[in-house]
Amino acid sequence: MSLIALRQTEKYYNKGKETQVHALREVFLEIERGEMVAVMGVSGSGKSTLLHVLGLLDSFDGGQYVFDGTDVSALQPNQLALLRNEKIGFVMQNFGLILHQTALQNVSLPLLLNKHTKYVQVSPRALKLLEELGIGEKAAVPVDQLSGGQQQRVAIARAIANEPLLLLADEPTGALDSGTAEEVMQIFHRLNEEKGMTVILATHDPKVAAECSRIVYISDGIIQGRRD
Amino acid sequence: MKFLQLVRGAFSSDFPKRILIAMELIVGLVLLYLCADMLEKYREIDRYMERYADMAAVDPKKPDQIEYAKEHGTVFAPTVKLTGENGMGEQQYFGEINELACYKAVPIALAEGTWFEAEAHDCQYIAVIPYSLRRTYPCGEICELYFRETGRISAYICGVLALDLTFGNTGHVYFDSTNCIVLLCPAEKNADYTKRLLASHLYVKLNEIDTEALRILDIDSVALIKDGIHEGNRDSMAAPLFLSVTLLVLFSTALLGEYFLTGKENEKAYAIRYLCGAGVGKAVLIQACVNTVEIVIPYLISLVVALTLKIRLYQHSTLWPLLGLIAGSILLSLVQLTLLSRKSPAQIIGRRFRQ
Repeated sequence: MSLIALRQTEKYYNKGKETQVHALREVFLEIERGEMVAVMGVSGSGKSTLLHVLGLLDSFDGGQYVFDGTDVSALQPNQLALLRNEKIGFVMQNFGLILHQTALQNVSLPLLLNKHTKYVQVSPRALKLLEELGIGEKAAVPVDQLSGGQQQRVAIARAIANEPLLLLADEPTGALDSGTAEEVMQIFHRLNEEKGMTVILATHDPKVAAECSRIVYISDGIIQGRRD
Repeated sequence: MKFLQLVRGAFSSDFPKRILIAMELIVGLVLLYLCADMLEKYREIDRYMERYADMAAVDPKKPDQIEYAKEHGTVFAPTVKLTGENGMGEQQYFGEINELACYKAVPIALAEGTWFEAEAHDCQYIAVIPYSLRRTYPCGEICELYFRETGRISAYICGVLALDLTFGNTGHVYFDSTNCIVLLCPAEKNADYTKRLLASHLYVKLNEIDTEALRILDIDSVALIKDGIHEGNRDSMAAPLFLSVTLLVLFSTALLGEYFLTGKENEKAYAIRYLCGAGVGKAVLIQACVNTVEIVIPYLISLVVALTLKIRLYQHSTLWPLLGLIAGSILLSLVQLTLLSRKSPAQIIGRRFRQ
């Protein structure tokens, strides 16, 4: 069974208004467990929207989305939140961190929200994650005092804190220099290969896409084709 | 922390943000002024207490107190307690005197007027009113007052008490039905009211209060007198309440302004709600906790500073602002909850879809 199955999925912005945008058009997409997939397209093509829908960050207006055997369209907001917390990690281009909090506090947050994690385990586990990503010594530093690469590592640590099945990254290297971008890509590879996480990256950088096992092209909200 | 964030933001290239930060800095300065003003007001109260604390009531039934007062102080004014004529027996009468004799002395000071100026007016009663009633019963005028035992009477308002008093700490003086107005009777006009007289106290302004005075005058300590006055001062509630309401409004305005204009709060809420997978209830709880921690830490620091500088802190002045701010934090979180529920995730982070 696929981890992700989108069937005729539609997404509109400002539906019914003059400014309506048809962001996703009858999208069919299946992604197996353990895959590392790049979603490529120009700016405004719908790749971010696709990732937001896949990550349950945004709703969709038609079709079906089955995630890990569950039809998510029938779920209530708090059930969606629970799925996001336990099974999905999300890394954004602008990192999406709480800036005045420390790296450790940021990484601890999803752990605190997870009912399966005991309180006493939260800090040690968050610290271990930061150490694994090479920023253990920055644990007590507010994230707005960290470099872009360090902030992205904190964001990744937060995304994988609950060992999710799916890791989504929207332009994860877009705000980084080439050296740091390469290090971040290595982290994604390691998570995919060693921990078996399914990784989906949205990117317009061919070099980044080339490192993935599969590329999905999207244009005007339509999946154009796949290269395995 | 907040100040550093503001200073960093002041150098932002984003013009609306700079305007907002300027507004927040102004709000911060107003807050600072209010805090300083509050501290100054309390220091003023302290100074006031120091000035009047050495005035004490002396029970004329106790010769040693009278003797001490004459030797060490100046007789300030006598007060008379009146009661009804409806069958109060002598035994009860003396019982009450004994009770009064045990009562701790409480000084009474005037903010306006003079004790016993009624001689110039053909008026049987004179009264001293609490500060809060000064507009209702102007000093120097004859006003109609109602007392349970005497009924409706005309009394000359000879003075305005510097502080409001309550029954609890001034049991030896007489109050009207609101427990506020002190009815006095000049000694030279006592003839007609001999039966009503229960007890009189001489108020003396002592040259100094030493341990001997405390012992003879049956006063535990000067601090006791001060606290006695302050606990009875209803006006003391006003400043902290006002401060807490002001802080609440300013704090809400600043954060809500930040919420709507910079989207910073939106991003934080988005990170908690969506990227970390918090349910709406938990998201609000986390926001409330984060806001409260941001409030409580500087609050505790200010308490430590106040204690270090030996600034006298009163219960109301410390508790009410804190409760007000925590209430503000919860209110803000509820506002965020409402806004979060009404917006889509894309709207929350202001993501623009270009196609």
